[in-house]
Amino acid sequence: MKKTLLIITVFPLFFWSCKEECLPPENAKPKVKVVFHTTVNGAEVASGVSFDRPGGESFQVDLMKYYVSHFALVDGTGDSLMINDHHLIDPINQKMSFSKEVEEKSGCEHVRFLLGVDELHNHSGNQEGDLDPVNGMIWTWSTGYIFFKHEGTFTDATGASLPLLYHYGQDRALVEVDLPIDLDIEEGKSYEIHIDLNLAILYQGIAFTDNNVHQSAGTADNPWIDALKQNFRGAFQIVEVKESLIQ
Amino acid sequence: MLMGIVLLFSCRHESEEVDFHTTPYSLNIPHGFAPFSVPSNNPMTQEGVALGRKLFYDPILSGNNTQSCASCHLVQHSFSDTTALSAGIDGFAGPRNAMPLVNLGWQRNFFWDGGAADMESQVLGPVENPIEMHEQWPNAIAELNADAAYQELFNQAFGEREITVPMVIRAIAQFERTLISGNAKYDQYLRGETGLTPQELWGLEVFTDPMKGDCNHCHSLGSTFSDFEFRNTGLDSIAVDAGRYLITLNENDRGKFKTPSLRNIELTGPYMHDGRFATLLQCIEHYNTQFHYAPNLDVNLLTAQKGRMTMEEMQAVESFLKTLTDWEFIQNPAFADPNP
Repeated sequence: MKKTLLIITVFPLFFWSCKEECLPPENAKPKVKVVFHTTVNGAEVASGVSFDRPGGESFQVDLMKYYVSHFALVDGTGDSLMINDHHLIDPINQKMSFSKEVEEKSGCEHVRFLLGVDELHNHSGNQEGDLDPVNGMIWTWSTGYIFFKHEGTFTDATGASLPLLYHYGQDRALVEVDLPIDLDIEEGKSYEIHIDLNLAILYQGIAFTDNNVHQSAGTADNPWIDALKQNFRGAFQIVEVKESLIQ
Repeated sequence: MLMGIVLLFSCRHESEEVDFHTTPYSLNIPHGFAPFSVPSNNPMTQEGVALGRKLFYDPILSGNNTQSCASCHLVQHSFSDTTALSAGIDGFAGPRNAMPLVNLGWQRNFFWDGGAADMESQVLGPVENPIEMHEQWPNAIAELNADAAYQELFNQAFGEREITVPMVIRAIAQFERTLISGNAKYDQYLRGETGLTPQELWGLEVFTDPMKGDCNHCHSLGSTFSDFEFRNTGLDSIAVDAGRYLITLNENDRGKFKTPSLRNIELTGPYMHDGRFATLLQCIEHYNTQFHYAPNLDVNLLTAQKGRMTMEEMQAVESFLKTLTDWEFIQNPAFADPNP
């Protein structure tokens, strides 16, 4: 009898507490998940794996992190649906995605985001979340975020192994990425947008042998920053968009 | 009883939020000083200031737990060091003199080269600098989180037991904002509470005379005695330390450093960014006759006549500068080491 009373009492309580969160699926707000794959021509980077590059060279990744900011789906009129503020992508540790419940939006034609941290947020460590300085992505002697970090090794054409340390940042290094998409965001559906950052394209024309250590700390690094910035724009590609009903 | 369960269940989150409250900290802004603003995400609280003070004096933030912020920022020297270049935990000396910490709330851009745009960000640097406290923030945070007493103090200050870097830098910045000096002899003179000697008054006159000291051109009279601009003051004909250039990468900034505050200047020697001058008189003599015509020499010095002050006038300026010493500030028990 006591058990029956408890069920009778708890059931409406459960229903009441979930009134807003447990909407029937067909009315559920759409959800967009963005997944960044960091690859060399489609092969996901992983610690200890060697990747060939032209000229008989190869490289490895011990640590790779980068910021993706202000990710938005944009329609033909320029109206946008913001998906994130700032997220740190860390493929070695499988931190590759972010997601958000959004409103409906039809006619999305562009995916736009920043590789890096915008100037407004770039010069203070007094921030939380993925901008928390604990992530090791900030220069503390001259406050500013490292937008993209690659630490590892490379082997030159003679077989010599050298360290590779690329810390890419500064306001001038901020990259605006614009990718075409054809997508309607509808109620009751979830979406996964898979984007590839292809390091083979990113490092096209970048000579590891010229200077294997870049810290974006002097004007001598500016040509390297400008070259990488140009390459970043072409190195991102949408590889898959998945659509499913919210269960 | 069932209604009780219902209420308990539905109010759980609200009651958790209600449990956290802090006590506002009222900054003691001296008479005649303008108020300064604090970041909206770091309001001053009694709990935050007390925690920041404890952290400031605790070596837990250094790599081998031997040095705290206070190791190089000594309260009796207006939170500066007595050596030209302080040594870090590994015994290596850094390239620059430890700056005094006084009236920081009115300052903008921190470090000699202004590399930190706000006070919270400034706290990040010395902890990770390999020639200073030589620690990694994740290690420091892990140590703090392993300390139940710290977890409780952070919970009281920020409503979270899980300690993060932003919480640490906010607490220390709160304490640093309380380091306010406004009761030097000069302040008392301005308030009509005391007089200056004829020598000190003469020094003030020379200090402000555009044909003599012209010191107030950069060390503007007020809460800080600085305009916090960056200048090349001709310490070297070719800058040994590139200074502000290292931050902006602008060639025009080579050899420039932040104009430091003159508050408590009597206590903060040795002087200049590299501690090259032992005495105040040496500093004044530099601006009188010894400055070099460096490529980026500040225009105020470029147009100043060398040897424009006599020895007596320089000594008078020195006397005036000593009226900026706030003995109450360095003896303030609220600034002393709270750790047993």
